[in-house]
Amino acid sequence: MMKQTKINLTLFGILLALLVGAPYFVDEVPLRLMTEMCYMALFAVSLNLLLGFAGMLSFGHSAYFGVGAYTAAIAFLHIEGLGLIGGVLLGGLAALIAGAFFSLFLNRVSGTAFAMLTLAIMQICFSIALQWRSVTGGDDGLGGFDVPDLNMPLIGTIDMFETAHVYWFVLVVVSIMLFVTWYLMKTPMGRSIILLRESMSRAGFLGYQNTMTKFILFTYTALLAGVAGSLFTVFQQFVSTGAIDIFRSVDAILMTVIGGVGTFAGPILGAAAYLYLSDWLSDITARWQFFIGLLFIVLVMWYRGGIMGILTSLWLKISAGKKVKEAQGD
Amino acid sequence: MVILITIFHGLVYAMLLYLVASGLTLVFGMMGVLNLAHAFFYMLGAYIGYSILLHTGNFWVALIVAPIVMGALGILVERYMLRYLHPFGHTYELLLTIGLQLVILEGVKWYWGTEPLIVSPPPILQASISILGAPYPVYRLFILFFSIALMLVLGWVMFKTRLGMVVRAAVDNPDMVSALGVNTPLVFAGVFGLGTALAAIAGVIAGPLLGIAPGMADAVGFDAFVVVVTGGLGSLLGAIVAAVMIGELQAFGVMFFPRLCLVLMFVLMAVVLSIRPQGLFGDRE
Amino acid sequence: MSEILKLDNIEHDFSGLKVLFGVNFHVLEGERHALIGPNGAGKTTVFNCITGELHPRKGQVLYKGNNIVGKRPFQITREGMARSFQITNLFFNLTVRENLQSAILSRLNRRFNVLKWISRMNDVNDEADKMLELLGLHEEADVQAGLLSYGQQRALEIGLTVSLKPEMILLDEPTAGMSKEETHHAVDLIRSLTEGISMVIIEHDMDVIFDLADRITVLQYGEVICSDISSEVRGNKRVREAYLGEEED
Repeated sequence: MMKQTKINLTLFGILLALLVGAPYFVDEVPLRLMTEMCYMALFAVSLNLLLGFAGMLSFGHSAYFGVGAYTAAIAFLHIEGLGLIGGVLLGGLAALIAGAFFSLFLNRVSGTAFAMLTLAIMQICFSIALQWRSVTGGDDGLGGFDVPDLNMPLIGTIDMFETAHVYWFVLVVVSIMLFVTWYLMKTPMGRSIILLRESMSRAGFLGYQNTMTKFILFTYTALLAGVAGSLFTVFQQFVSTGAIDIFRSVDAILMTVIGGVGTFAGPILGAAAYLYLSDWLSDITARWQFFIGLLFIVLVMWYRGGIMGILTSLWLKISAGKKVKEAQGD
Repeated sequence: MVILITIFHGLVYAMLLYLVASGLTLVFGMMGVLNLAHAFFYMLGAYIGYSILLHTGNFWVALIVAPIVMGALGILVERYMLRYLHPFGHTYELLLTIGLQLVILEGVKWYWGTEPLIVSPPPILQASISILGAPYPVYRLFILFFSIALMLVLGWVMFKTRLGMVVRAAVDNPDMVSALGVNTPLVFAGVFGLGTALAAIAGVIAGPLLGIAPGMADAVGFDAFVVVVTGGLGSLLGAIVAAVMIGELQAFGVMFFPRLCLVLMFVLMAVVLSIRPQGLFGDRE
Repeated sequence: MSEILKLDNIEHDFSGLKVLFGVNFHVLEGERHALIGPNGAGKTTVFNCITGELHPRKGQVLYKGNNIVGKRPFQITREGMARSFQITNLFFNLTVRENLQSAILSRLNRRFNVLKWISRMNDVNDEADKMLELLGLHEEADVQAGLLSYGQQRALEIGLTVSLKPEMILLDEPTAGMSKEETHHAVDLIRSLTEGISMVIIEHDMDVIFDLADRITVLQYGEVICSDISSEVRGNKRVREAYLGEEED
């Protein structure tokens, strides 16, 4: 394994240890925020597979988040004895199927047309969620269900009423999916996806079947977003059209750009930063989104690498400075 | 009778949509950038018009000054922001417009508040006319005829003057036009500013009809996108045809099948994008 | 020797503007075949019809005896035909090594492998290293392709195509924009990398043509005016008038 990867893994290991221990030294309210950061990080990473790795801007990613969220809620509400993992998996599966279905249409377009089509698809899903009151509760949303306990054979049952329990569950699920995705991007499958961004024509002339790559990509990112949505339902114990609207989509885009498009960790950092900022700023002013918007514009104009980019160039400056000092010291 | 009134309502809304969509489609055809913040310029134009109206008491002054202000703003945005990002690709231009959306929306809420603002039409246009026995507000007719007049002027400039020819050529093939010695940056800035000004005009005249509120951008914005996509990115002719289609669809939809209406719009957009991404009349990309 | 490629009455137009009026020629297995002609003659259109980028309005493209008209580029590539591009078409943000890996992975049908990291695939990386040596790009292995010099990019362009180990290779103006010295170097590279592979090459540089090509097809205004061995083409009066004649003045 390359040195850089070893360093990354070690850092991640330390981070993970801290995150697991968090409930012991963090209060309930910040812990709830951290839980939100986890599933939103998964959502942002799934968007970034499209935006940063495959080069496709999607406005409609909240469609899959919403499908996952609603499906989990409906499952918890109506299916007796389904269990926590079952509900989450069902949500992910529903989103995966939606992703596979919509990829039939999305496969044929690129660029701005692609972005607009994702928008149209999301709006269709949003309208269905809003108007199919009998199933989705319309603009009242779906609540009044109990999130089942986590039933782990041999280990026991953990309820999902305590903040710390929900936090751990979300953390574990998100960590697993993020690890799988991280692993995936270094495999040939990941390379096929990256080639979509680099040059679809060249990839085709090298024998890559881009249509199939896109199908797999759209389906997989939908799955990730759907699981994030299911976790949202577990956390909020309530779901409404806020899970499937344009603001949710734009949130993901904001997080990804703030964190750094095109790096794996960028959206994770971006989700954390965005949620922390909005939490902090919204206490100060009702117009906090104005400042987020300004920050976003500044990043797009001058710091396109986002937080990751800023950190990386700082790191390079520091290590370059060290090298200069070493050279001078001789 | 209701049908006739509805058709008129549809046409009025269609013309508003056209004013908004024409700028959007010209900019996309020329620069390849879909200005997602366009509808927000429309909204900002309405709010600025409102303030001018408040200060001068004169609707017509607002109708003239607000577009000029917004046009200038548009030129600045193009010149200093979009142009800067152009070498980095369309994605970043799109992302910038998302940022602008947010800033304009929140800025508007901050300065003018979140409550809807009521604006009355100017005194001359407050009456109702009798059309085939039924009363119809003069103001709506004003919107209709004013917009048609504006559209005809725009069409005349575009298709009958040298300036229009240069702009159309730039929309069609900016590199070629640049190679022929035309100052394309100036044309780009100018067309962007024109589009923004048209959106502002639409905003000012929409005020008395639809009310002024932070949500007005979304309401018209989505419809404008559907118009631009359906009519063809870059095509003014496509824009007017699609605007009439969408305007009527909305008018009849709201009356007769409100629940289906919203979904129908986006299904239409999705279908067009999937089958004929260049729209009915467009041929770019 | 059998024909590996045969164009049978290929006709094509762009929105009614006819560009190919019944193009016929064939390429024998293992031979190097040049496609020449004045600008606008339709050479790149012919290429695009062969590689699947365009579907000709009429006619057949017989590759190894089968008509491949209507097949998508990736399918034709998988059947053993590879092409390079006149305007360099690399993965500019990826490193030189990563570019080559991408081609090799495709050839080995590992495109959708989700189990093993590319960095741990020793066979792929060894082969990439060998190709880097052959291309003279060993030093630049971890440099982004977009940062290479023009000549280096052109070399990588050919390297990518050859890494597919095709039975037939189509080179579209490989020496475009090169100086005399760079051209010499490129031709040596092409010759060494494509031993035994059937080739169709579009070129403008006549020295390159007569150096490399066994047989030549001359295209003018969408029609084949001569298709024969090099020496015959040199002496052909029509060809001289249409093409070479201009050069000798």
